[in-house]
Amino acid sequence: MENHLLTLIVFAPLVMAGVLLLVPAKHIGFFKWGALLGSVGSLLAALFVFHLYDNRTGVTGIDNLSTYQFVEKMDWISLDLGQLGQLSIQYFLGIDGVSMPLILLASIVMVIGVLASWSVEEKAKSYFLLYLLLSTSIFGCFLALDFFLFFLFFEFMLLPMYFLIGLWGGVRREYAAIKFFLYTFFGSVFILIVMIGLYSSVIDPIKMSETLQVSVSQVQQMLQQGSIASDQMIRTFDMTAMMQADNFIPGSVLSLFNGLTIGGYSARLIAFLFLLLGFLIKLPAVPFHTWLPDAHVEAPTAISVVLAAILLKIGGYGLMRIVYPIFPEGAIQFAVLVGFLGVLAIIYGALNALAMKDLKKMIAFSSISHMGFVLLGLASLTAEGVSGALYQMVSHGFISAALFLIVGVIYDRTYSRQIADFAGLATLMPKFTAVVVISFFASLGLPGFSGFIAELLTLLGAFHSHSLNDLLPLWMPIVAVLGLLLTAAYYLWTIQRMFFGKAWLRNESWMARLTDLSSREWLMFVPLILLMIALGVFPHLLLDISKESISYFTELINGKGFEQLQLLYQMTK
Amino acid sequence: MEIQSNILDPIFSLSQDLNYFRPELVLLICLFVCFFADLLIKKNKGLWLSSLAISGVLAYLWFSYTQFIGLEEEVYFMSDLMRLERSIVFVKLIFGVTTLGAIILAIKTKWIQIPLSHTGEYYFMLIALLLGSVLLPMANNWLVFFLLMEFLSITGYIITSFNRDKSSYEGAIKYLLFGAAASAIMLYGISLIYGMTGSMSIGDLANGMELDSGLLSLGLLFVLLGIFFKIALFPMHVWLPSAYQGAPSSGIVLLSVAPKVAALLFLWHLTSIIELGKIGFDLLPMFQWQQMIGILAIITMLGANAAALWQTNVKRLLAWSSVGHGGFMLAGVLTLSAFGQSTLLFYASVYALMNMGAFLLVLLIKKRTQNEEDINAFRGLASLHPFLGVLVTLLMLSFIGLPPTGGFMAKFLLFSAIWDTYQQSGEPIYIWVFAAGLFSSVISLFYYMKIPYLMYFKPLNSKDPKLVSLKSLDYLMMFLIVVALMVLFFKANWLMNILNSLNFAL
Repeated sequence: MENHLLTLIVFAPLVMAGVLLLVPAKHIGFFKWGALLGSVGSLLAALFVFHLYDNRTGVTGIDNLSTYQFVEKMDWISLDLGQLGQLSIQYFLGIDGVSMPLILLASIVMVIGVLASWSVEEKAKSYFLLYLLLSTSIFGCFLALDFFLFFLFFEFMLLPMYFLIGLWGGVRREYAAIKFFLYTFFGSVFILIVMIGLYSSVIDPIKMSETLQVSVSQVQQMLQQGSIASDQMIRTFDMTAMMQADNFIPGSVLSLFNGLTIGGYSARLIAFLFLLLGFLIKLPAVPFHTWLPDAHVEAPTAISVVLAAILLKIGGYGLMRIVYPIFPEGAIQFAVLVGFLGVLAIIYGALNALAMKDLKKMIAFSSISHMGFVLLGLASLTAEGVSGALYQMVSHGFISAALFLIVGVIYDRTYSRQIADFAGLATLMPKFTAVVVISFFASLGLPGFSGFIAELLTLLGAFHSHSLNDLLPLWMPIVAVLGLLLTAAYYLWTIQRMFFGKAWLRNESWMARLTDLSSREWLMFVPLILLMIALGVFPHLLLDISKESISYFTELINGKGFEQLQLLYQMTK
Repeated sequence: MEIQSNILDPIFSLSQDLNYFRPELVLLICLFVCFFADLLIKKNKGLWLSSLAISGVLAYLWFSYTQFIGLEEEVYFMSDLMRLERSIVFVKLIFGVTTLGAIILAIKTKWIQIPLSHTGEYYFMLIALLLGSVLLPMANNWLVFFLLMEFLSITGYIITSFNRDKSSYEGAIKYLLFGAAASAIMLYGISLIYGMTGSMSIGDLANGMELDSGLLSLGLLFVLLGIFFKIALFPMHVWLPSAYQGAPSSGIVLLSVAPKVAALLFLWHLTSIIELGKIGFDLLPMFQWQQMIGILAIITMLGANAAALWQTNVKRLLAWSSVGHGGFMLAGVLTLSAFGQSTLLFYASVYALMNMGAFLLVLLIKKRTQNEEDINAFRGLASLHPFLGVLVTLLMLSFIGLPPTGGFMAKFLLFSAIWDTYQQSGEPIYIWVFAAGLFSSVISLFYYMKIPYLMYFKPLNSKDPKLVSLKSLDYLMMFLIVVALMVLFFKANWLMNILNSLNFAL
């Protein structure tokens, strides 16, 4: 039980960054190999965790601390608040069926990202140091179970990203970098507000059972009866404690039983909306998406890959790990809103992608469209839908990584990304065209690829929701299916325009430079394509890890959600 | 025998009282030693004076520390003219460290700004400012309070004008005129309060006499304006940007921390008396002091951060940022809880550190550009000094309030305290202050990030005068400050637990 594998995943890149800091900047090779070593270290640790991961029935995680795996828990900051008791921030990591797939995704993509950065020569030291810092904060985000720790990683991610876009990006990189920074920071202030509200409302029953010498359930009982003095309370950032209504201090703002209302609305529902907003900006959902096309277009290839494949997933992961389990009644109350935002993103993203002239922008909008499925699946709160949402996150992670690498291949050779600048590339670069066609088909959801499974599950869930818990109206999945058609349209149209027909290039001199894939590029594409196909043909590879957690998750949210919503209505009457 | 002891009593009690003044007496001695040394010493004057001043402040710090250890509870002395509690002793330590920083910066800059002949005078003023700031929160009598406010103002004017150039005089005269007006208003307020309560003792406010609360409120409001002038809060902040621009950077390091925090601590005392005595401090019905201070804090936080967006002079930018931080700390005063006080002091400590770092940076820039203060002087600096770039970025993160820095912890704790107050009282004003504070830190992201932005994203200006090489001491100071800020994040409990043990008697 006591091992530090998760710590290894999180801090392997950081330790490597510390070592590389001492190497003089002129040895560029050191930094490349060092960064590769650091991210491979995380990958190996992640694979080892995967190997040991226990997916038997009942091992669920979510709100049940004892069924999390590889848990590491240490006191980090304990403050005495006098009459308000104690505040405890913990170094608290753990993994369950929701985070395991995402950790695998992140650790694989981070390695591919290093390969994609291989051509970086300018200021290589800073680049790879920032890249390693980014890796650490990404892994930390997926593994942290203490809200404060999560927030630390979540916020710290902004800084390396800001510099990576701003220093190694395209023409309008500075604008894109600050826009990315501001949007996400703005969103994270909403998260911070709720975080403060939560910790001042929630106690740590386990620690208090130790200090008070009674059992955990007795602590909760005493708390709800009001027989624990305020100065004996240990306030916590432990997410799993926040997920149990019995741990909320009676009378505190976010307490379920006698919480406050703000302007007539229950504070809990407002808190749900705040958190939702914070994570929707990160996801991003329409209408908070405008930073994404800019950031993608300006970021260097490897950073686009990381951004699309991993950072966006943190938005979705935050919803699943934090927002839904802590405020299940919000998930029920606002299911239609979340579902609607999902459908809106699917259609709006696809329509925009159809209109884009820049290949990278098109793919950025396709990302927005695909993230809509995550929202739709999550909103349905059915086992299929939520599995689909998680599946979509992983599948889109691999597919979008490939898509942005494809743009990188063309851009590295010609410094152009305009769709109209190219025609008939299939005759010039046949192998590359094969990769493009496979990736595009995977992204548009052709059976046999991972995208198909993800979208199928999501749509099934959304349809099923109508008969199961009646959260989503039937028109939502129907409109979402339309989005699939649009997706097919823009991908096929792009293939037709750029790759088929007679070879033509805007600039004759590009002809010589448009060589087919190099071995380094093969090294990046092959694992991604294999994963897309593997996940498309053997969905149980991923579903087996997550199914216990997901089915528990849906039961929990549905059960608690309706119950607590009813309670809230009674309270506010 | 009995008679004799009665005669001697006042003397005994005086010597007893002087015990509480040990740190201040050290400062007083140091002040005059500097003054006479300036007159007497001819050779190696700068070195002598600096080491005298530094050793004086170190001795002061030592005595403050022993006082900190020794003091148990709130005491009143000098026939209740003064009071002392551990939180006051704690800020003595902050001020002392800040003064040390200011003196070191002054030593580093003497060749730019302060002619050697004025070194003694300058240290004299710095230490006088420290003395005044230390005494101010101890005041328990309106007259003592007024005298100390004036003492602080006058030293402030002189320090501001120390550069002896046009902008320096401009800043000082603005400061002086505003200060004079504020003092007059405050004095009028004090006379109203005296007229209403019949006592010069501040604590007597709490006796809750049945009075015409309208006039008393008016008097308190006028006093509040005077305090706001010292903290530089809306609407009494107008003098600050010009004063900062004109004053020597080493002076502002102290000027922007010590009087500000001292006045805040006094304000804390005053508001807790108002709250305790349930004095109807309501000029309009439905409008209590919490609302008023809350609204002013909101305006200060949002307004100052918005105003800073347009600044291109580094010192003016820092001036607006300092007004903004004053607003944050004012929001902390609203809590009036023991936890709130700890978070306020934590914030003040972090702010003092950050401020020192910021003005060290200003000095580096001035060195680089021969006295330019334009923000464009930061262009491309990181390509020359990569390590400095990292340190400055972390410092700016702390100013914005992003992890992993003490700035984040300070804001996080302060706003937690406000949230707790909201949770207990349910007054909507707290939630507005809370939200305004957090969102003004989003605004502040724009202008604080300008500095790393220019350092990293802009090329070196080829027309720039050649960079004066940075000494390892510059790096070391910056490094220490940034490390301290990181420690205040990762091990915030070290400082917070000391602060929490200060005084839970509220």
